[in-house]
Amino acid sequence: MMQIRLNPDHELQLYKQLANQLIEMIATGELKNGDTLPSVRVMAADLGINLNTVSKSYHELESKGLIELRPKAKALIIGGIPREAEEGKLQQVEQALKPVMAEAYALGLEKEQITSLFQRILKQWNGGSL
Amino acid sequence: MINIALFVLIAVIEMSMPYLTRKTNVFGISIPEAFVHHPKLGQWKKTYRLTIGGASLILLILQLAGNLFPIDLQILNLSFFIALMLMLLITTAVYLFFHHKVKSFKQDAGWEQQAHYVHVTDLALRQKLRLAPAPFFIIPIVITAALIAFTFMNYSQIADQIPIHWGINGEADRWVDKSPLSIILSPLILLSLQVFFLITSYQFKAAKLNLTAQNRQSSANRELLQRLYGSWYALVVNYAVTFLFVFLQFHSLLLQESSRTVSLLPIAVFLIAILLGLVVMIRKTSSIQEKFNHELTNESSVQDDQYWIWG
Repeated sequence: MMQIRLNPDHELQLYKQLANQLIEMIATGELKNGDTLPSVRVMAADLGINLNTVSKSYHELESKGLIELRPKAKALIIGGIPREAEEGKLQQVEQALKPVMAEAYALGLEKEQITSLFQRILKQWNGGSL
Repeated sequence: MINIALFVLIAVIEMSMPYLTRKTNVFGISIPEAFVHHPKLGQWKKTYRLTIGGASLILLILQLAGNLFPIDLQILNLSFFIALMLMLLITTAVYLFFHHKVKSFKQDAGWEQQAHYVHVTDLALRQKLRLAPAPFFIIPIVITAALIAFTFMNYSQIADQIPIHWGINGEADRWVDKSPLSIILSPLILLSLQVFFLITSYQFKAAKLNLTAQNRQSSANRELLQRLYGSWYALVVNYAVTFLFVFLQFHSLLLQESSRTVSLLPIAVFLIAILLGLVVMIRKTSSIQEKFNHELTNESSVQDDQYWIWG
């Protein structure tokens, strides 16, 4: 079951929630490299959300280099395979990670605790192809 | 007799309508998942069924009574048409009555405010859809095209008068003059039915998935099975109707000698089979509805009442 569940009361916007859940599916290997996503229209209808919301989500995934949007075809998953770390990508991840880790450290978590938290989350994705 | 069978068929469908829809949709109003078991809803569904059932029964008896008297066939046909229109009118009126009843009840009870809506779907579900193969819906259309071509090829052999109606005893009792249009009239009706089935088959695949927030497994199951059964039933009816029309075309046009009488038995068997198939379909469809019998929270998948257009 590849379930998506969006909560309008959540602080994150719907498009962000959708993008995050799709990213996680790619991380766990539920969505594999070469799979396709439902068309924007179908996804919006099934979820009961606006077309633009889905479109915004897909464009975010595209800008992150995880999917490829093709005209008149379904979006293709291009993430989900091991690849050479590009300096740019690495920096992008570091930038995103920094505030979260800083917050944890500022809250008073030990460095070991943060590391083990990191390990624990990574372990959830070991079932994937990465 | 076809009239009566058709009437019963439509009456059965109309009566079971509230039980065929999803439990989260009552008379076109979406019901938050926590309230699908409200006793009022069940009561109204039952009242609807009894009202429509009673009205259809009265209209049916009136029609059957009409058959007993020597009334002009045209009047009899007209009365069937009026009965059908009356029933559809009554159904619509009663449906609308309950639509508004449920709507105001839902508002007064404040269900909308108590429900907590989430958007749910399952990306794997569409891949799991098993439907009657689409090419099977094209084949009957090809058959009809061939039938039309075949009819024109034999134009000279067709009699000048074409039977279009048969009485209760199987004797042809109404005729029309032969013309390029009149000889393919019934294949054209058949064609429009087949196109309708083709579109239906596409909709079984493309229609929005309706998953509930609280019964995702069983609502996914409902989506898969209802579409599976529905598409195969549409396919079987499609072929049966095609067979019947092709048979009648040959019987009334291309085989002249026998065109005066038509054996009613195969047609009666055919109509009863379609009707029984429908009853089985309705039973199956309503039995695979999700149960909503475990403890319910106020969580519910989103509603789309604002898009309601007379459904």
